Amino acid sequence: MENKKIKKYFRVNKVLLTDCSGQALIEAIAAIGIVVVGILGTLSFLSTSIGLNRIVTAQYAGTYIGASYVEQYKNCLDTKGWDSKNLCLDMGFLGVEDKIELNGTNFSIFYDDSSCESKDLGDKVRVCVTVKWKEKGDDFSLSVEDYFYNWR
Amino acid sequence: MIKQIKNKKIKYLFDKYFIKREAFTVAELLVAVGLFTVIISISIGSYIRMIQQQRLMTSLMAANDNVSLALEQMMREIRTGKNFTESGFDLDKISFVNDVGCDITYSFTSENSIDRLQNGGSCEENDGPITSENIKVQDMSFDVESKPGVGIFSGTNFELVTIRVEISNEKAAGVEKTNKIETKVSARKYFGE
Repeated sequence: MENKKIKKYFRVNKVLLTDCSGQALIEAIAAIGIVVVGILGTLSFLSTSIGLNRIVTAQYAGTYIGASYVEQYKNCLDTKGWDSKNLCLDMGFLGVEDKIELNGTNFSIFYDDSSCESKDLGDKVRVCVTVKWKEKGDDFSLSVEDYFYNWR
Repeated sequence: MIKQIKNKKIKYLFDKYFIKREAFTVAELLVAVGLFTVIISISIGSYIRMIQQQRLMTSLMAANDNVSLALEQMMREIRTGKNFTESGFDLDKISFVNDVGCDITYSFTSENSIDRLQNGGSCEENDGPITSENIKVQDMSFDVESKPGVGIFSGTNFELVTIRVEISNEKAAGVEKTNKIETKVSARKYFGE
């Protein structure tokens, strides 16, 4: 009689007494989250590195564009003489285009006095050209600077 | 005694009903192996693409550095040169006299390189590419503008040379990137030469 009672007790309470050794939902979510973050992190790193190719290429092109405007200033100074040093700082006077397209990137060239001022310093002239462009929605810019002296 | 017998029975029944089975089922094993395979293939794919990108970036930077050096050499020589003439198919050649009186010609060759030819005057003949083999020069052109001087410089022309170069890197991972560079250089003529 007693045996029967014990057997019944175990049968009835089997579910309650069983050692449930599965994973909790929160554990599963955390584990999947870590894996997803890892994979997404790798992919974003990859996409950033692809984007860097274009940025490096644009920076090279931008530097040479900036340098070419400094050279044009120098040409103007040589042609017109030292008295025209301020006149040559005017891009309209130089007759140069302030926009250029290279490798599918649009570069705009201007004098940005807030970051790098082009000015007459008496015995020398500071020429500083800023080149600006957009790449993947971000703004990039660089400045090329040179000094010219009246040594003739 | 009776208590002991009861305990033994309970233990026997407990073991019978709740014995711990420490093995994976086939389904668990399949899911685990499947997940592992998917994650490993994605990771290895990403890793391989990253290595390819890194190779591409290295080759592109090497190409950019190389063309930069070639441009610097040309610009330095043009700055101190005179008697400029552009020629050739698509104006891919420039000839001038450098500061020591040598006849210099820079040209775009069919071997996808920039060539420097030096001859004439008291200069030893010298001919060879100034770009390395790891870059391909796809195109190059020159444009010489002569700007007449005014005032005390009248009678003298000041040349402004535009150099356009299009290069591409050595094929890395089957990818070739092209880069166009354009710059200008003004010849210095301090003594009205």
